[in-house]
Formats: sequence, structure tokens, C-alpha cells
Amino acid sequence: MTSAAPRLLRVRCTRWDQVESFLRKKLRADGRLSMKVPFDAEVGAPVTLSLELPNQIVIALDGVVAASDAHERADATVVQLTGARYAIDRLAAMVDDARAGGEGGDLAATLSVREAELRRLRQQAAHEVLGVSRTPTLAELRRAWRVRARREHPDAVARYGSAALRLTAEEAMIHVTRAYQRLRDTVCADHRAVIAGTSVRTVGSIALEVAASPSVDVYAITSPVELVPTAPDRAGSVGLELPSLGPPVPSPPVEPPQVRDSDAAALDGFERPISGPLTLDLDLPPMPPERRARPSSQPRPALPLPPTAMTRAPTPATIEQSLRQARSGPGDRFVRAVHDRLALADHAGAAQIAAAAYHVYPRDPRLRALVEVAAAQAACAHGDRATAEAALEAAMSFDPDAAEPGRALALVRNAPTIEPALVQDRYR
Amino acid sequence: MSVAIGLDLGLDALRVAALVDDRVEAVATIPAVIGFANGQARIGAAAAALPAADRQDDLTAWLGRRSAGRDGDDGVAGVVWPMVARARRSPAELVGRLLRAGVYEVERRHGRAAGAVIAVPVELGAIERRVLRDAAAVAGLPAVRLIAAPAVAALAISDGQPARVLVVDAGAAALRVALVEHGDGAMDLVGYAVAVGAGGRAIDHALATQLAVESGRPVQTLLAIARRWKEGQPITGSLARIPRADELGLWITPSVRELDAAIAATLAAGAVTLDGVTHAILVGDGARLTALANRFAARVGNLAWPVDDPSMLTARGAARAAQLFVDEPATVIVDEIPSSFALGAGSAMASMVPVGAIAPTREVRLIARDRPDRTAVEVELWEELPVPRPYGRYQIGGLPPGTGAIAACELTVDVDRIPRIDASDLVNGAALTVTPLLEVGLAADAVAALRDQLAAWTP
Repeated sequence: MTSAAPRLLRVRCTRWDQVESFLRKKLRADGRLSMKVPFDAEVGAPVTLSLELPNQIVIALDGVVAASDAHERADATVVQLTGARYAIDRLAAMVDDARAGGEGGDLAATLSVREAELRRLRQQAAHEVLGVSRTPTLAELRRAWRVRARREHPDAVARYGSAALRLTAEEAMIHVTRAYQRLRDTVCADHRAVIAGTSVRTVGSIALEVAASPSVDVYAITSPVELVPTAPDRAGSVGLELPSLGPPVPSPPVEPPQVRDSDAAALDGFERPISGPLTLDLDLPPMPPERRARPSSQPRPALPLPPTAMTRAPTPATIEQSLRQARSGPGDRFVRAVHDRLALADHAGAAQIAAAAYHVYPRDPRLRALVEVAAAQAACAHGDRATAEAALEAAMSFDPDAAEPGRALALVRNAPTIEPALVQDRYR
Repeated sequence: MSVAIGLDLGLDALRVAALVDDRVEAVATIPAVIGFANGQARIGAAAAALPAADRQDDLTAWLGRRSAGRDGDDGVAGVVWPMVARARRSPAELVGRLLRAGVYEVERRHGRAAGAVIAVPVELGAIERRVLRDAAAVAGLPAVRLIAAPAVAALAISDGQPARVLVVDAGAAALRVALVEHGDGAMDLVGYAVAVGAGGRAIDHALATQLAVESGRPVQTLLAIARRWKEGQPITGSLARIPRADELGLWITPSVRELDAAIAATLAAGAVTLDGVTHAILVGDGARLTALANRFAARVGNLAWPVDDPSMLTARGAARAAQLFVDEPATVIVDEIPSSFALGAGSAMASMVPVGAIAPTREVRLIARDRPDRTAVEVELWEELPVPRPYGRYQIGGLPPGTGAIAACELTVDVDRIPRIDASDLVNGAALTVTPLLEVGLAADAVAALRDQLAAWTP
């Protein structure tokens, strides 16, 4: 009789269990909706049900007010919805998906949860990402990483088939593994490689390994290639030599020395400076006789390990920040040492110092750039203009604030003959 | 009913298993042979019967084969297209047809699959992986994941408990040994070794060489005869004589001995001894399995875990791993990247991804322009394996004119160990356009065209 516009009945569900409860208690399979409504409803009046779901989908269904059954509650209004069958099936499927998914189920909710986690991960230090102490054991570290990987790996969200979710998981996994690898490198100086059973080690890890082992007295870096420590000689000193051709012998994981809490607190931040007896004797001077003569059985003081914190992915913003910050830092003395070597045209020495120091201070782009500069000087010595230019360009990209590589590059490009002095002069 | 597919892609055959509602079943073994008769593609046994000019054996060997002796621009995208039945065909199409045959077998029985896991060798490079992903798209798979074969084999026997499994995979191309660690819902490889000399083909070759020396007939002829015989095809020639069993044992001993070295290298890489291993399994197929099984049993003793069907175990494991497409996976498999990548602009190549990084991983390199008036820079991506191979060349465009603009070039190696490049402006963080100039693999429209073509094809 009345041809008024349909009344709108808005039902808003913010959680999937509410949807489930609505389906079970209010909406029957034959499309009859039975609930209290905030308006007077005559039988035959048109009603539109607007159902808002937690994933921001709104389902609208038209219907008319029907006469109450005997078994309906007295205060409830009954609405006979048209075409409700399909909607009910779809809602039930969505609820099932949500229940199976565990973490809110639907894609939008999962994505927002994961994105929030990712924002948190970007801010966290390595040990916070994995939820371990600052100096975990290798077993703790590995376990923590596995548990995180189980959750953050893109495979864990592959069932949603969503590219956005996959990329979010990918970045989270990158943060987790980077934290793990950084801490692992510190905890266990022995890198292993998966290629054909070889155990590959780097100069940096050798430095760490030597530093972490209290029985080692003297060490020297002889070449920036794979090195393994030799057995102690009579004086108790240890050198490093090229690995033998035999099968690689993995060294046992080195437990990190304990760091006093007060130290850790004081050193919270960019990096932990090397102090005490942990020195890289890169100038290779003859060792003082008193150090050489010290019996190796004498206990050595515990050494703090070099940096542990790799807190974020190098997103453009943080790269820029770190470029600014790194103009001075704990790597200063090595930068000076490399500059001195370059000024003397000792590119081999410069390369060794820069490479070793860069492994100890991996976030210092100046050292990374100096590795390239040393390579450029070496190339100049061989008259290889292309390589020298390439290395200097690389140096500029690693450390854009340094003026020397740019000037050296201009000289190298324009010089009629290539000689080490082109680079050398910039560092005098 | 949820369906997912596990595929074990080997040199000689594709093995197919399906996950149907938490139940894994072996579906088919399809020889990796494609042939064309009257313009119609044939796969597997039907193709093996065709004359040699009309068919291509060992399809997967073509995934990343490079053109030899050619250089220049052609080299960047230079995956060789083999000549089959007087036409050059892309490896993505050929392998795609093989995968399609496997997918068809599953979907014929159980209906549409949600996705597939392809078990691949650990050492498979990025180029091969990229071509394989294209092939999976050509085969019409909605989603695909490439996972290290030893890890899925270990998953197949896993009961969910922490374990350290030594997997010996007696493949046709090589014998591969891996040490897989499983615990806390994650699984990763801690050691890996490849012994090419103990692969099925190498053993065949050793036997044929012995017979050739004795009979004076060419090795290749004997190999061809042996192959036809294995495939059940009519043999036109004959072997010089049938060797006695003890002779066979003697002849293949040097090959089989490589198993010991491979196991030793794997354990050393994983920094454990056999005491630290909980299970050891031998998977694979062919006559080599018997000879290797004796050596394997002698080496690992009571760690050897009985496997019912060693040829299908990897495919079954892949099907189990494919659970990730339909449900939350009980175990995720984490892969390491045994090769490194180098990114360069102009002449300056810089190594980006360290060997042993865990996939996925991401590295950033800053690339400056050589002249301020350029709004685009070109970068090249190479894979170092350790022999460097070009992967692609990309143009990074959209840099604002003027001095000071630096492109932050982001190299991401995804879970399948396939690289991709994104770039942003270092100064304001704006995304830059990355256009592939030349890249390994097929363009998206070529993949779509092939997929449509294969959708109408019944293997």
C-alpha cells in the first residue's frame, strides 16, 4: 500500500566471528532475517539490508517485512530477503576462510597486520628483530631465526595469492635474515658456503675469529684472499696462510666473549668501537719481544666483539643518513691509515687495510670506497685506464661525499698516460 | 577439494605427484622428450619413438644453455633455442609443454590445481630458473615455486620432528648430496656437494668406454644403442657383448666412489659428522641406483632410511611442499644463494649479493649519471656462478634533469632465486621506471600467447 522508499537496515561487523554469529543466529538459510530493527515495520514494507564485513566489503540485500512465525521472538521483526541464498553461501565461505587463516583470515586484515609488523621491523636492531639477547649463542640464534622465518617467509602467505602480501613478506624475511646473518657473522666467525663443500672465509671473519679466540697472540693479514690460521709456532704466535688444497676443515663455532652490561649500554648505537688488545696489526711491524714471549697458556682478557647491529635495510633515506653520519666514526683511524698508504702509492697495503677494516666496520661507506680507490691505484700502476675509471666511479657511488675519487677520476680520464701518481696526488 | 602439484624436473624425466586434500599420490613419470610429428607436439614415450631429427631429448638441459662463441647484445638474452623438427623453439615453450603434460595428468584426475612446486637442483642458476618460471606460466600453472630438490625429498619423509637428513640424489646428470636441517617449522640446506662423475650419464659413458675399447666401436654408437634399449625402442645395432656382472661392478667403481667424496664434502660444509645426522636417504632412478645403494649403505650404516619408491620420493615431497598454495604450510623451506650477482653501469661492475646469502635478499647500489643532462641510466645485471653470465640490461628512467640526482638501484633476489631490479631517486625517494632492454626469458605477451596456444593442446 505504502510506496515509501525502502528503509535501510545497516549491520556492521568488524570481526569475522560477528559475521558468523549473525549468520547462525539472525539469518536463516531460507533467506529470512529475524532481528530487532530501529524502526516501526509494517508487514510488506520494503527493507534493504546493508551488511558491512571486516574486509570492507558491503553486501546489500533487498527484502520485505514478513509476518512473524510463532517461534520468532516477540520483539523481532522478520524480513524476507530476496536472492539471499547466494549471499549466505558466500558469507559462509568467507567465514571459513577467515577461520582457516588464523590471523584474521582475510587478505586485507592479514596485509594490514603484516605491514604494521614490517614497519616495526624496519626500526628494530638485529637482536630485537630475532628476539634474542645481544650476545646469543649460535643455537639460540639459529632457533630464533627459524621461528621467525617460519612466520615471515613469503611461502607462509603464498596461499592468499596476493602480490602485495608476498612483497610485504619478502621484505620482512629480508630483514629477519639480514639480522640473523649479521649476528651469526659476529657469533660464529666461520662462514660456510654451500658450493661444493668448500668453506669460504673472508678477511673480515678472520679478523673476528682471531679477535674472539683468547689463545691467539699474534696475527697478520698477508693477503686479502681466503686465509686460514696456521698452527701456533713455538713462540705461541699464529700466522695466516693460504688454505691448503685438502678438504676444508670447518672450525668450531666461536663463543663470543662476554661483554659487561655497562659496556653494552655505553656502546648502544651506531657501532661498538674496538678497544683494548683487539688491534689489527696491518702495518705488519715486528712484534715487540715481550708480547711474543708471553706464554700462550696465560689467560687473556676477554675481548669485546666488533659491531653487531645491523638495524635496517639500506633504504634510500637511511643510506643518505648513514652517508652523513659516517663522515666520522670508529673507522676513522683506518681511513687515515688507508689515506697514508695511498699517499705513499702503496696500493696493496691500502687495499688490505681498507678491506679488513671494511669488514669490521661494514656500515662505513668511506672504507668501502677506499677499497675501490686502492683498486684504482693498482689499475693505474698496470696502466689499465678502464679498470681505474670503473673503480673510481664505484668509489664515488659508495661515498659520494668524498672529493678525492671525483678529482682523481677527472685526472685519470684526461691524463695522456696512466700512472699511480694520478690517484696518489689526491691523497697527499 | 584442494589440489596442488609436485613436479620433479630431472634430466631424463619429469615426475609428477599430486596433493589432494592432504593426501599425496604419485601420478606419472614422463620422459623429458619432445617431438613434433605432422606439426603436432608429442611428449614423453610418444615422442621418444620419433626419428632423432623430429625430437629433442634432455629438455631440461636447454633451460639456460648459452650460445657459444657469440658476444655482444645477443649474448645478454642469448639463451639458445634448440632446433626441433626444422624449427627453432624457445626452451620455455619446450619445457612448458613438458610441464603442461604433467599438469594435464593431474588436472584430468583431480581438477584444477592451485599451484605447483618444482623440485630443482640446488645449483640451478638464475637464468635457468627464470626460463623455468616462464615455462611454468606457459604451462598454465596459476602459481609456481622452485624449491631445492633435496629439501623437498627430506620433507617427504619428515614427521615434523627436528631432523638432520643426508639426502643422496642419484640423478642422471649428477649425483648430488645435501644435508638438510629441519626444526621449528623451517628447513634449510647446510651442506651441498655435486659429483658429476657419479651421475647416470657419466656411469653410462664409463661403461660404453670400456666396451668401446674392447670392441673397437665408437662410444657414441654404443651409448645410442644403450639409450634406445632403455627407452624400449627397437634396437638397430647391438652391443659388442653383454658384460658380466662382476665386470660391470669393476668398471663403475671409480664413479661410485665419488659418493664417498661427495658425502664427506657435504658433511664438512655443514660442520657435522655422520653422528650428527638423523636420517640418510637415497633417491633417484635407473640402474645406477643398485650400485650406489650398496656403497651408500656401507657409508651411512644404520642411518639409511628405507624409501619405498626412491624414484618418486622427490616428486612426492614437492607435492607436500605445494601445500603452501592451499593452506598454511607446516614447514617453510629456506634457500641459500650459491651464486653472486653483479650490477654495473657502464664499465663499473660491482658484486652485490654475497655468496651464501639467504633468499630472499636485497642489495642497493647507487648509480650516478655521467652527464647531468641524462634522464636515464643503463645498468647491466650479471650472475657470477662463478663464471659470469649476463642476465639482463635495464634502463632506469625518470631521473630529474640537473646535477645531484642519483639512482638507488635495488636488486632483489626472490624466494625462487630469480633477480629483479627496482630503482628510486635517492634524493626524493620517488620510484624510477625500470625498463628491460634485454633480458633472459620471454616477454609477458610472448608467454601469454604460448599459454593460450598450449591451453588448446592435449598432451
